[in-house]
Amino acid sequence: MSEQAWWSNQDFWRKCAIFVTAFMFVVLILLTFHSLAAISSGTDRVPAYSVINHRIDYRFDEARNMKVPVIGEEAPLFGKVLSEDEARELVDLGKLTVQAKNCMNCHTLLGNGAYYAPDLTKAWLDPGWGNEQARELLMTMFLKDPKTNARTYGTNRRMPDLDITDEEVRGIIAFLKWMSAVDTNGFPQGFEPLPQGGS
Amino acid sequence: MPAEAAMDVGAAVAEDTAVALNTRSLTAGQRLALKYFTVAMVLFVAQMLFGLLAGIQFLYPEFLYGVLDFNVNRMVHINAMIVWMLYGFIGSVYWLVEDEAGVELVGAKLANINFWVLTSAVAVVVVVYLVVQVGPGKQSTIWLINEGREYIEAPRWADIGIVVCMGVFFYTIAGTFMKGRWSGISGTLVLDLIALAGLYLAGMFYTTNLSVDQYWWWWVVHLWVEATWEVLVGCIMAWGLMKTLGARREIVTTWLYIEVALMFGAGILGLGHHYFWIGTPEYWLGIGGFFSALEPIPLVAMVVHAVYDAGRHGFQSSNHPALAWLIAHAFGNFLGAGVWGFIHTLPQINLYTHGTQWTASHGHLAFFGAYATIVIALIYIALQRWRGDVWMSADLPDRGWKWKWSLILLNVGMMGMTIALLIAGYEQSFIERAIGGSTWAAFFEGQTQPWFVQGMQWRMIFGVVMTAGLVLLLWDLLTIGRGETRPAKEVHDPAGPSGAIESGALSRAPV
Amino acid sequence: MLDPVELQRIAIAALSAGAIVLFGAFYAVCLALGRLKTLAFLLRISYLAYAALVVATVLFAWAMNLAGWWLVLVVVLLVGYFVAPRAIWRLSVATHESSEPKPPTGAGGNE
Repeated sequence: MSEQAWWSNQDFWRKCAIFVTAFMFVVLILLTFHSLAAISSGTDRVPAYSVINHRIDYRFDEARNMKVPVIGEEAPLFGKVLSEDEARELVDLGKLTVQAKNCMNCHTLLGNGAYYAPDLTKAWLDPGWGNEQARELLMTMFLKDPKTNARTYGTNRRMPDLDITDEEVRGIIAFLKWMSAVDTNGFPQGFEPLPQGGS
Repeated sequence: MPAEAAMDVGAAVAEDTAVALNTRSLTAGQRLALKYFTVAMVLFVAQMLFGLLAGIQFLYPEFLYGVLDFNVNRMVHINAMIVWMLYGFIGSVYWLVEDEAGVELVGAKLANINFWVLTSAVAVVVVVYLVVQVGPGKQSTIWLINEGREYIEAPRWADIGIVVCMGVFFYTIAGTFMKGRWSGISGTLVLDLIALAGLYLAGMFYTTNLSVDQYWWWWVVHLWVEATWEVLVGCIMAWGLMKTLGARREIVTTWLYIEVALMFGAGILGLGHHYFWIGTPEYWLGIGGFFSALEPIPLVAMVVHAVYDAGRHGFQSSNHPALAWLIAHAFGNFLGAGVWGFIHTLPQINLYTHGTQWTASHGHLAFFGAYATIVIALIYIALQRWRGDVWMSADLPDRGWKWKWSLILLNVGMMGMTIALLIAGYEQSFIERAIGGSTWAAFFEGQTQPWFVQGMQWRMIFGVVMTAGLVLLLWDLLTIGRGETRPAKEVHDPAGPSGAIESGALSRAPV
Repeated sequence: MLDPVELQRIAIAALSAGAIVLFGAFYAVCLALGRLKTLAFLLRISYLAYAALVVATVLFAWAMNLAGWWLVLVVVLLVGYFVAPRAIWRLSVATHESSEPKPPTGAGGNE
C-alpha cells in the first residue's frame, strides 16, 4: 500500500473526515452564537414580550423585498397594558399550553409541525377574524369551545375540545400575538392581515 | 463472568422460542440484538397502524374525533418511527460489536436489563400518549405527559431515562471495544454515538421564545437524521458488507471516511435550510440554500462507486432478501433524500412549500429509503445467522414469494404515497400559499380542491398496500429459513465487493 | 435578497430541480458503466446526459430567480455534478487497485 497515491489512502481520508467535521462544526457554533443573540426576545427580529401591548401590522418592505411585521401604536391585549414581566409570564403560559395541548401535531408553528390544520404563524392577524374589535372575543370563544364555534370551510375538520382554562386561553392569544410579530423573512408569502386601526 | 449469565438468558430465550432457532450459536450481543429487532418490528406495526388512522381522518374527520384525535395519532405515528429505527440501529450495533471487537460483550447482564428498562419506558410513554393525551398548560405536563414538540414529544422524565439508557448502551459498546480491539469502523461508530447522545440534550429544555426553541429543536432533528444517523448507518453497513459480501476492511474503512467527510461537509451547514423562516437572520437563506443544494452531489457521485463495485465483482450474495433491501435503500435514499429534497430546498421555492404536504411527501420517502430499508436488511442478515447460517440465496422452497412480494408492496406503497402527497402538496402550495396568501380560509380552500382530496385518497390506498406488505414481511421474517438444511452460499471472494451499497447511505434531508 | 419563484413557475422550478439530480445520476451511471465496460457509446451518452443537466440547471436558475450571489451556486452545481463522479471513479480505481492483484478492465478510464 506504500505505492498508493496520497489522495486515495485511508489515512488521508481519516484526517479529511476529522478536519471537515470539526471545521463545519466550529462554523456552526460561531453562527449559533450570532443567531441566538439575534433572536433573543427584545431584538429586531424577535420582539420583546410586551409587544402584545401594541398593534402589529404586516407590511411590504421594499429594501428587503418581503413583508415584515411592523409594530404600531399602543393596542393592549384585553384592554390592559402589561409590564414586560407580566407580558412574558402571559406569553409563557401560552407557549406552555400550546406544547401541553400538543397543538403542533395538527397545526404548524412558523411552518413546522403537522399539516392537518392551518398554520398559526399569523393566526393573530388572520382576516378570518373579521375585524379588530371582534377578534379577541372570537378567538376566546373558539378556544373555549372549538366544537361549537368551529369554522371548517366545508372540510368538517374541527378542533377537539382540549379543556383550555380561561387563563390559558388568554395566554395562547398573547403567544399568538407575540408570534405574529416575529420577523420570519416573509413567511408566509403574500399574507394580507385583517384591517386594523382603520387601515 | 457476564458470559455465563448471558448463556442463561440465551437458554431462556431459546426455550421461549417455539421454532427451531439456533439461539445458542449466537453471542450475548446477538441475542440482545434480536430483542431490539423484535421491538423494532412491533413499533413498525404501531407506526403503520396510527399512520392509517391519521390518514383516514384526513378523509373522514369525524372518525375517532374526540377519542383519538389527529394530533394523538400523528404523534404516535412519528414517534413510533423514530424509536423503531433507533431500536434497529441499537440492535445492529449489538449484533456486530463482539465480532468487531473480538471479545465478549462487556456488561451483557446490564445491557439486558437496560433493554427491558428502555422498552418499559417506551411502553409507558405510548400508553400515556394514548390515554392521557394532553394536560394543563403547566410544567408538569411537559415532565409527565407530552412535550408537544414534533418528533421529540417524549415527556422530560422519559428524555432523562433515554439519556441514561443511551449511556448504558454506550458504556457496553465502548467498553467492549476498549477491552478488545479498535478499528476504523468502531472508532467512527463510538464517536458518532457520543455526538448522537450529545445532540439529544439540545432538545431537553423549555423556553418561552419559540424561535430559540425551534433553533435547538432542529439541532436534534436535523443533526440526527441528516448527520449522525447517516454515519451510524454507514458504520453498520461497512461491517455488514465485509460480512455478507466479503468486502475488504481496508477498502470499506477508507470509503467510510470519504462518506463522513462528504456528508458532514454539506450536511452540518445544510441545517440552515430549517432556519429560513423561524425568525433567524437572513443570512441563513444563503447558507442553508447553498449547502443543502450541495447535499445531493456526493449522493449522485457515489453512484459511480456502486456501479464500479457491482460491475467488477457482481453481487454474489448469500442473502438475497437482504441484498434486495439494500438495493431498495440505494434507490429510496436517492429519490427520497436526493430528488425529493432538492426540489424544494431553495428558499425561493421553500417559501411556498414549507409546512405543506410537500414536506410530508419528502419526509415519508426519505425516512423509508434512508433508514427503514436498511434496518429491514439487517434483520434479514441477523435472521440468517439465527437460523444457523442457512441458505438464503435463490431457489428458496416457496421461491421466496413472501419476501419478494413484501418488498414490492412496501416499496410500491411508499412510492405511491409519496407521489400522491406531492400532488396534494403542489395543489396546496398553489391554492393556499401562492394564490390565497396563506390565510385560514385559503388553507381550507386548498384542502377541499379535488386534486388535494384525490391525493389524500390515493395516499390512503397506497397506505393500505404498504400495510399488506408489512403483514407479509412479518410473516416472512417469522418463517424464512425454517426447515432449511442447505448451508449459506459461500461468497468470500478475495477481491470481493467493497463499499458498493454503503455509498447509498449518503443522503440529504429526510426532514 | 430573496426573490421568490413566480406563481406560474413553481412547477417548472421543482421539475427542473428534480431533473438536475436525475440527469446527474444518469450521467454518473453512464460514465461509470462506459468506463467499466469500455463502451464508447455510453460515454457519449454520458455527455448528452450532462448537456441535459446543463439545460435543466439553466431552467432552474431562471425559474428560481437566481441572480447575484446565487449564481455562484449555479456554477458550483455545474462544476460539482461534472467533476464529482469523475473524482469518485478515480478514487474507486485507486482504492481498489492498491491491494488487488488484477486491475480492472478500463481502470483509470479514458480521461
